[in-house]
Amino acid sequence: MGLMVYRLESNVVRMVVDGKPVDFLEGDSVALAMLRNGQHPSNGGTLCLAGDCGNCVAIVNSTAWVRTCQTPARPGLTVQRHTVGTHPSMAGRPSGTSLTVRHRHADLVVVGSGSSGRVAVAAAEADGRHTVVFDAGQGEEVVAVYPGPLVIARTNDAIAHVHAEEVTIAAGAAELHPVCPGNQLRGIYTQRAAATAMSAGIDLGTTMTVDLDGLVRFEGADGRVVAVITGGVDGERIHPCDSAIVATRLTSRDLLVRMTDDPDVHAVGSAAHAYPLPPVPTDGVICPCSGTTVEDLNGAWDRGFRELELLKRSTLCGTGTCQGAACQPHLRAYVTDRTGEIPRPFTGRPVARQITLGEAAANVYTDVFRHTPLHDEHLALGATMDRFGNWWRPWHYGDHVAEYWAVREAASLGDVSTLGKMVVSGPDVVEALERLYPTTIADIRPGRSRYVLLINERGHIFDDGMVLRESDTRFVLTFTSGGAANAEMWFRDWIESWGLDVRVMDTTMSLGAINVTGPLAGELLARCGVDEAPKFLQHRHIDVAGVPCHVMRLSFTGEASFELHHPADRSVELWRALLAAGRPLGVRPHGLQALFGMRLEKGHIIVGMDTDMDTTPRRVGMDWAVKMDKADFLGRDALLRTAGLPNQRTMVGLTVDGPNPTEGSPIWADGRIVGQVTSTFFSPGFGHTVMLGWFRYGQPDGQLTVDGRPATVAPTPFYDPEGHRARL
Amino acid sequence: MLVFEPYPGTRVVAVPGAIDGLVAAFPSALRFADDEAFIPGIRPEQLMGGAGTTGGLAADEHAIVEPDAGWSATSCSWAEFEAVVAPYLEWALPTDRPAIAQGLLAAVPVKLVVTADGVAIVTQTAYARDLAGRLR
Repeated sequence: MGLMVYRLESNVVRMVVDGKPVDFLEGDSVALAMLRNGQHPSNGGTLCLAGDCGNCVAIVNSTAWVRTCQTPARPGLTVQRHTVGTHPSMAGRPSGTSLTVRHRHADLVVVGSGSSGRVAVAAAEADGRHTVVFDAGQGEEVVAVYPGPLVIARTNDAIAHVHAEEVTIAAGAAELHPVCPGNQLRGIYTQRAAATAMSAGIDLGTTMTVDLDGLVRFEGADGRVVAVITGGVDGERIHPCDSAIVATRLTSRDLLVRMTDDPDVHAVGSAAHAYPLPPVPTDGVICPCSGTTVEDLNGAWDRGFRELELLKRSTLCGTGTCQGAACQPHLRAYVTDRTGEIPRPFTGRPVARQITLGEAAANVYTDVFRHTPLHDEHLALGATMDRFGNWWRPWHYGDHVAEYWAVREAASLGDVSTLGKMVVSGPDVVEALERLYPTTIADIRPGRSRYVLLINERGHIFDDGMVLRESDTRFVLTFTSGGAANAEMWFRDWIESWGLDVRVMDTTMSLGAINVTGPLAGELLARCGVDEAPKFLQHRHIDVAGVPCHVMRLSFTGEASFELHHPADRSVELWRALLAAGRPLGVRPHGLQALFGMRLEKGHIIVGMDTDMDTTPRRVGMDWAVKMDKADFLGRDALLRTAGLPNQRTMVGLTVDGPNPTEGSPIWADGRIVGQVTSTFFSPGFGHTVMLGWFRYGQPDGQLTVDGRPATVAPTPFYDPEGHRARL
Repeated sequence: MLVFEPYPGTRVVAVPGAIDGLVAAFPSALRFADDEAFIPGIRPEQLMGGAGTTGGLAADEHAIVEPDAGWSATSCSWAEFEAVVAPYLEWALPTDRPAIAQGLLAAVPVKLVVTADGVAIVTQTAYARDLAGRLR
């Protein structure tokens, strides 16, 4: 037959099974090679050698759950059987290869290239439709079909994602496995499998072919079949044999169709045929993948799991490697026998073929974290970068305490390009903002600004920021870094819902922003050509060091602060100019670590860090930011309703000696947890730690402790409570 | 590896009728939405000329017209696109030429300007270095 036998003498020609070399012939699958050497590829069970069942899976080159009947044997391949009764270890050797996903688009995907598949392809191509064909025989296994439809296939060099207008499943039909005592012995084959083995020259010895209708059990010795027992009206008959062959009865290979209810996914040919169910199983293993027996089914049935899907879930029958290819017809026969109705096949679940974690993770990207225009400047200054609010941001530049003192006593720069920014304009803009914000908007004069909370219909805070008025009908709005995208959707949704005449432009990534802060911040701006900086809560458009800026006077650090919003492509120029001009003033940049500490000293909350999903303004002591005398705004009804209820949770300031406890640490009182801290910072200025935290059940009695140390409630702001320094 | 270059211009949000006029006046304009367009290589003052305001913006006194330096772009031929970009594209390109398509490319938001000669990939500069790194 022209087969070449690979032998040890040629030095590179054997594969290794369970640590021992095994010869194979050219064209052998791993399973055939093992059978050729008198070995079962796993540990027993009927073999189909067609990729349908899970009875030949093994660890191949460190990857578990590989169907050996679909894996070509090749020199040096290492095969290890799964340990009986357990799952194989996941601690395989990393492959070192990087898989990729390749997206393709097609009018039609045809799965299977048998006669039905070829007919489907010919018809499509006659219509000029772009067709993609996957054939497992060519090493292209479809592992899933999703609505879309989207076909996921494992190919020889990549994972293919094919986005199709239509999917035709022409996968043919599989042979039924026997369910009876002894069906997990070695030496049992489906009829096609036996033909495959024999045509490959494998000697099966004395064979006995049996039909499912007459089969009673298999008998064995040392784990291998030695006889087939059939039954009939004249009693049992014993048929001694070396190998048992189960006469072909078919079931459609429709798993991929059952994975989706997409109307553009359908089966043709044998895959669409409704084959008769097999005899009702009465004993033996029904699901070889999960080890489920008919006795297990009986137990589940007696406990009330009397539907196909319930039996599947309660016994795991059909949840294993082959996803029901071997067991589902028998399971349906079992249910039909007890209910009198043939149940629909259960839903197919991806994946139809075991895939590796590497294949599952191919081209799965993490969220993209944005880079500010100053990213490389931060790196050049030695910053340690971290991800915050979907941006890369400097956490510190090597010495957060020095950064703290620069802000408190001199001047400092912070990259706040990440802030959400939006321009709104239109004849109805004031009306829109009055409805969206709980504070008053109409009385903000052009050139002035106001701090605002954003609350939802339930009265819960979900963002905060500033409203800056530019003209009667135009405002600039700012939001938190992490909340900007959500805020934009919120604004657009409501404005459209209300039918108000307002234009919305998100400028978050068009503009850079640098916060110049510290008692010498005004002096620094003066050195950059600003003759008259805006006063507290005012804003103006001014050139700073030759860069056009929208200068906003506000304060998050507690010191005089000027946010310079400017074209993103001028950020580096402005940053360098400010650093150069500020050198005599002791300017240095500060990172988030110092910034978060300083805002904590001022008692400013960070939405999402100090707040929960149900934080109301009252709970954080910010009733002042809500004007209940306004006619209406989102969340007003909820706040009215909850205003009369006891305030169960309150945010408080706390201090503790020593280093800052971990954020999230519980607050204890008299041996019980009464809340938790949300932000902590060891203040270089105070020499102790300041914290914000929640009391869950009102003001507790007794000595408070955090991290095993006495804690004291303290009024906020901790720093400059009169706010003089921000107005310098 | 694709190299993204700055792609400055002017972004306009205005009533759809005004955007219609703007797009008609500036064939290079990228219409992101009914009420929003980006005109590469154009400064706001070139659009806002008082009574002689260009491209229909006079139709909307509340139009927002802002310089926008937040974009980066790269162009590739169809051959380059098929080799480097298409394998990462989960959605089908529009069949019209020219056309603008918007969506995720390797999980990064992009706008694709599709012409007979090739495709320009436009993304916000904040994403550009990640996108370039993913399209390998």
